[in-house]
Amino acid sequence: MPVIKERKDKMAVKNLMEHYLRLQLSLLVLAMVGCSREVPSTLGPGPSAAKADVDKVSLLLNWYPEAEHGGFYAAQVHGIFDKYGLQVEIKPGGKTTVVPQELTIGRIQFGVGNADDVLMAREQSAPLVALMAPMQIGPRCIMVREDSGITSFEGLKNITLQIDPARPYVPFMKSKGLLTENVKTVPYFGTVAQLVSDPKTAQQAYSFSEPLMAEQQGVKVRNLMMSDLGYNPYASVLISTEDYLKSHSEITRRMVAACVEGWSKYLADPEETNRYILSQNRQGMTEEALAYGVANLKPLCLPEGFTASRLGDMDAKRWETLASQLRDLKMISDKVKASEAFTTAFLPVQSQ
Amino acid sequence: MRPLIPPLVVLGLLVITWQACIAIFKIHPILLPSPFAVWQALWTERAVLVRATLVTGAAALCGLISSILLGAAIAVLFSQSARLRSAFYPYVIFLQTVPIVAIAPLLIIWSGNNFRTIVLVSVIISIFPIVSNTTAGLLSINENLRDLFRLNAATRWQTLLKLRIPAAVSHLVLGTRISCGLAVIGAIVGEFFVGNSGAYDGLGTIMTQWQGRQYTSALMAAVLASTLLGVLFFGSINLLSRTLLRRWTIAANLEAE
Repeated sequence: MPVIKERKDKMAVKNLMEHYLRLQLSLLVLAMVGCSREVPSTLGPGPSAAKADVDKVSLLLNWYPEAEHGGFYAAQVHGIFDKYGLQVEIKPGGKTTVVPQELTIGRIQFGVGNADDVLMAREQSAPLVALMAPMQIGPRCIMVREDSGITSFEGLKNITLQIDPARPYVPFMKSKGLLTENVKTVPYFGTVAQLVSDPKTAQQAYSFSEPLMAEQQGVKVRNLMMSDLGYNPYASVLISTEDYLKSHSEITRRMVAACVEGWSKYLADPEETNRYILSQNRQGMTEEALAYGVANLKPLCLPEGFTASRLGDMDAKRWETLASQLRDLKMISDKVKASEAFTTAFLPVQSQ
Repeated sequence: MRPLIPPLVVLGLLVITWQACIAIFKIHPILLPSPFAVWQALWTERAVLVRATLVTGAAALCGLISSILLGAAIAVLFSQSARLRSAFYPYVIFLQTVPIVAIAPLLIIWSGNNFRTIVLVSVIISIFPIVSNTTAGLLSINENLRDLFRLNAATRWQTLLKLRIPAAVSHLVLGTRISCGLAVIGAIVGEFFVGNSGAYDGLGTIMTQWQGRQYTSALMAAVLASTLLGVLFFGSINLLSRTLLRRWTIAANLEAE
């Protein structure tokens, strides 16, 4: 349910203050120590912490630990990061996590986000760059109850739609002439309770997550995939900043390679990783939900006709399409170039 | 114009410090936009902001008026019986301490995604200062005047109407001054959760949207709009207390002089 990003304005202001104070503090520390190496983030749970030639980086997730982050955790659990000489601290995200801001300030070196977040951050002059995309097909969908009789986006009429107003797909759907006939759009809180209690409710979902939650409550559901509508940003993308890529290209190369290997391991053999994710998730995640998640992730990560060796690859046309969609919605301007927002240069060679 | 000068000087200093911090510490605009960028966002998004401020203002006004009516009624009841007061006062304090963020999803299930729920959140957040202040006002009457009423065998009803309520008006105004800002906050928090299902989005809803887009300058502009709304409420209360309610609110007005 990597969905609600509603945050309180108070939190935002608090975060800003915190960023600002930390920035001053870190400048002070830098000046005193004269440190030019990358700032060692925090002590991560790496077994090889004793080794001297290990590079420490941190990876901030955009949501609570779930199946959509499986590959990154798999790289941790199966020692793939170690193999590449990295000690990675994976920081779980949550409702108030702001990955672009944390990357911009340099408190973290890598983050996870969606392709549309990257473009919108670049609109605000935050030079984020996407490095690898585990999922070829976006998991975003609108979930409706089977007994609602709705079978297509055009059928979304006379309903209450629980949806995050901050995400671009809401205006996208409206620009396609949808959601016009008596559709009440209201915020979504990450629970399927209202859908379960009211057949006139539809909600946003990730196709590998919420449908199981609804079915466990005894409600049969149907997913309308946003990708079928043409809105298909890469999801759970590994992100860093232009500055970091330039100054630490070697670490970035190893990080991307380790993440690709992690994802490939996760899709093949997720049990151990899922147990670890379960131990990291305090939001009521279950073993069953993770198993369902990874099973339904596979066709999104490796769709038909997509060779396994290209796992993590991104297509320039897809980025162009997304950029022009966001431009049409006036969410980004012409100054944002899709070609600058991602690079496949760090992906392992066989996938080029 | 003279009383406007000190606050304007403070504003000027604030803006200069803000801009200086950005220049000195090289703060990225996504973290803290410059005053000019906020001004630009305010101008670019003016149509959206004005509509949102009206939408939120309507909800906050309904919330504040409900709080005044309901809060004053509760205070009158409290003033009539010490037993009633001791039995119910703790529960009024509940309203003050209830974590609205935690119960907002419940309120929506009970009351629906609608204007009423936003007003409800606004009332829950803003009613306590009114109850508390007005009750204090109704109780803390001049001893000599009360004796005078007793000597003349005034009924409970007469004492309430002619002595307690006039004495409490200035307290009600003081409570309302505290509550008017809370009513605006309540409406915005309500919109975070409830959303605006009408034709236009309120400030809480557009803040959520802009935050999702990392559109920090516009977010700050929306924060500015919400503070202006609070100031507008505050100013209107002061104006009311200085004109219509002048007879009863001399004490409350002294503070500003």
